[in-house]
Amino acid sequence: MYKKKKKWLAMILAGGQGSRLKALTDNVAKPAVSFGGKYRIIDFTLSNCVNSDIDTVGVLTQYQPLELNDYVGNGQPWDLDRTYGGVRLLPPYQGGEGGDWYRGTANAIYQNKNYIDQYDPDYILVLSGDHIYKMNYKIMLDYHIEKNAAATIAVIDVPLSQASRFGIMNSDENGKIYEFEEKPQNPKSTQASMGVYIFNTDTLFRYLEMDEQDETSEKDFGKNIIPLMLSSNEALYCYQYGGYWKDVGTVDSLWEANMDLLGSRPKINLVDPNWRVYSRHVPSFPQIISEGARISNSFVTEGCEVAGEIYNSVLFGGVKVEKGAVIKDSVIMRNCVIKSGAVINYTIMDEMTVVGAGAKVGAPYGEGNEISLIPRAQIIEENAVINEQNQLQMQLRYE
Amino acid sequence: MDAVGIILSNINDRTAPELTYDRTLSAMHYGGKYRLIDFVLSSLVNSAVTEVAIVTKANYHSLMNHIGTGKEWDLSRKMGGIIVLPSYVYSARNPMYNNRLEALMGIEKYLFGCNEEYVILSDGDTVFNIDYDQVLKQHLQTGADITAVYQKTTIDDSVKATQTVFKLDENNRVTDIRVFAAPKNENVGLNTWFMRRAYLLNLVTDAVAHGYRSFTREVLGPNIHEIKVIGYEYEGYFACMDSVESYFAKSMELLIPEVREKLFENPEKPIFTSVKDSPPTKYGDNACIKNSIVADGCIIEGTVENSILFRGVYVGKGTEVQNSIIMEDSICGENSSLNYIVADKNVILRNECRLSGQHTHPFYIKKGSVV
Repeated sequence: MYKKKKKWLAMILAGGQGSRLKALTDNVAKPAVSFGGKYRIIDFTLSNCVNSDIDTVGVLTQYQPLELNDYVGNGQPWDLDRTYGGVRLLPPYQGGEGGDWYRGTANAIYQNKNYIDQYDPDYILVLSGDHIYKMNYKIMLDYHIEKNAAATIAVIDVPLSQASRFGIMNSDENGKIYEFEEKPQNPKSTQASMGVYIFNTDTLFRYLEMDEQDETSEKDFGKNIIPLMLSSNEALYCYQYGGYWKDVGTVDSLWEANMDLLGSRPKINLVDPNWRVYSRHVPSFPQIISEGARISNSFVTEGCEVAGEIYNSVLFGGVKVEKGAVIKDSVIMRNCVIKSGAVINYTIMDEMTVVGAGAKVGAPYGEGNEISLIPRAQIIEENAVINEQNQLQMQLRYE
Repeated sequence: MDAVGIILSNINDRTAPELTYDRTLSAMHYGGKYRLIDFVLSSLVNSAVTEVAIVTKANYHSLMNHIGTGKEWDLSRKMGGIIVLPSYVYSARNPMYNNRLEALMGIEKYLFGCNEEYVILSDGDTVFNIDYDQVLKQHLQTGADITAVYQKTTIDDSVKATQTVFKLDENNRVTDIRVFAAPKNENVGLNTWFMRRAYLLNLVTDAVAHGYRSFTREVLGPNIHEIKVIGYEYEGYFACMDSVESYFAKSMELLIPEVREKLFENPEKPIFTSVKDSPPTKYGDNACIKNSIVADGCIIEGTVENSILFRGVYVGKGTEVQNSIIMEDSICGENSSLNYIVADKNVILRNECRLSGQHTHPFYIKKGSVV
């Protein structure tokens, strides 16, 4: 089969379970979790690739891949249905030797050596499918080439108080990394790894081979490959990224990232003709806003029918909000129905849930209240009150 | 379905000069995110027609832009799929067509080369959501030569030029065909005809031989007792428009829930359109919106009432949009007041604009205007 040589290609790690997203990832892998009214988390990484002129993308799947596979499909929404290259879903497979589940991020790339070899790329971009950000990888590649680096790792400044939650890169004034600390107790810098790596292909596979031989290794980029390269005196550079970046690994951070879309100066702006975020489309009628509706500081998507009140919230497509219902500080996913008089506060509600008339869900934002999470396809009875205690029961019933 | 869909995209252009100034009527924006041709295309696709030819004449740049490769309608196919047939596609010697019959003469070779048993002839500017399977079913039951789709409705003054009116006998057989009929309760034709491909080819060849010019008045009309034309009653929502006034009136009917229900809310028969990847619509702190249709990608800071906003419209602070249609990517500045306005695509209405039409005579603003 004819294959074009590529300068670079992207490998997106999308196999993670994301157990801290609780019920949201019961049926889907973390990258397929809905975000921002009409997107899935992986849309951001895929769109970054396309907007950075990368036309060959491997998506490594493992956990609950069905919905993610369906969603990515042939890559058409991202213009990645290409004759030469395009998007490929790469699940683990059985081979003659060593075919197995992916045993770590590094092992996942290693097991797809054959896929990468087909395109003979000079550089490999390794990405995570579960971050919200808009980044031009082309500038990072230019930096990588200019520094003559073996690997370049994108970093972002985080507050010192949070630095111990991240992998921290310590670098000299030229950006050359001399030390990497995974979740350090006493961080020496605030440069957190974004999970975006560019490697020279040959160098990467040399270290992946070495790591495969090491039986004690966890086969992880952060824990094993980067330290191994550092100890071998490879030229590793960090690339300072200044834009918005968020790991949406927890229910709270997912909610925060949704709220970051709102306001007159949103932290991440999706209304950007120069950097569109693409997503798979669902044919639906535009939104219908009826008499009596009140919408303030909110994102509302096609297919919604709103007759109630919505404040500081994100509504996905097909959500129906009846007259007299009130939604505040919440994220309501696709095809939920909120009946009249229901009140929803500080909640993430997964798809297809029906909230009965007069029901109360969640506690008001602030005042030290925890966020409420309603799993997929629930039926909340009329006048029911859902708070933290019975949330748990609901998840059990759902299982 | 074993049928090829033929869509005539320019056939009614001359009746609405403002709207078709730089597009064909089939490419006219409608309902917040659609173009008129989406309805016939989606109906064909939802009835499992996989080969569709769009016959164009002039001014078809925005239509072709909209159709693209046909992906949105799942018509980007290796076998069949969508094909655009401009005039002169088969011969530069033939004159530019002026009517349905001449358009069909122009694509005789295409029709001859198809493999499908049946042909569905439709206009690209009809708003409806029809199940052609039912038409085929009735066509086979009645043994008709031609099945003509009609609806019992009142045609108003504004659209009579494009409409055909049938007189039917007790078996729904068409006994008389008229155009330019007086407005009253009638069996109004939807310009949708269903027949065997071979039968159509015969009609066209015969018409060429006789030098006929009109499909309804010369081919069907005088021979209505020899040709078995049977009416198929379409009971869903139907609209056609051929002036700014009828465009405005028919668009505003979408604010009626029953109309939307008939046209859009069958999950088996969605209306497909081109995808713009706009983000969701953002409502500002002081947005106030009532009884309106809003597409994605809008930013609304002002007041919107009884209106239709297309994708990517901006409504500034302090601006009141009432009873208006604002098309794609138009900008309404701050502290303006707009009432009974039809603003075409890419219009910029600067701050402090006061514009008003009247409900029977909406004020139309041309594509790309700056006010």
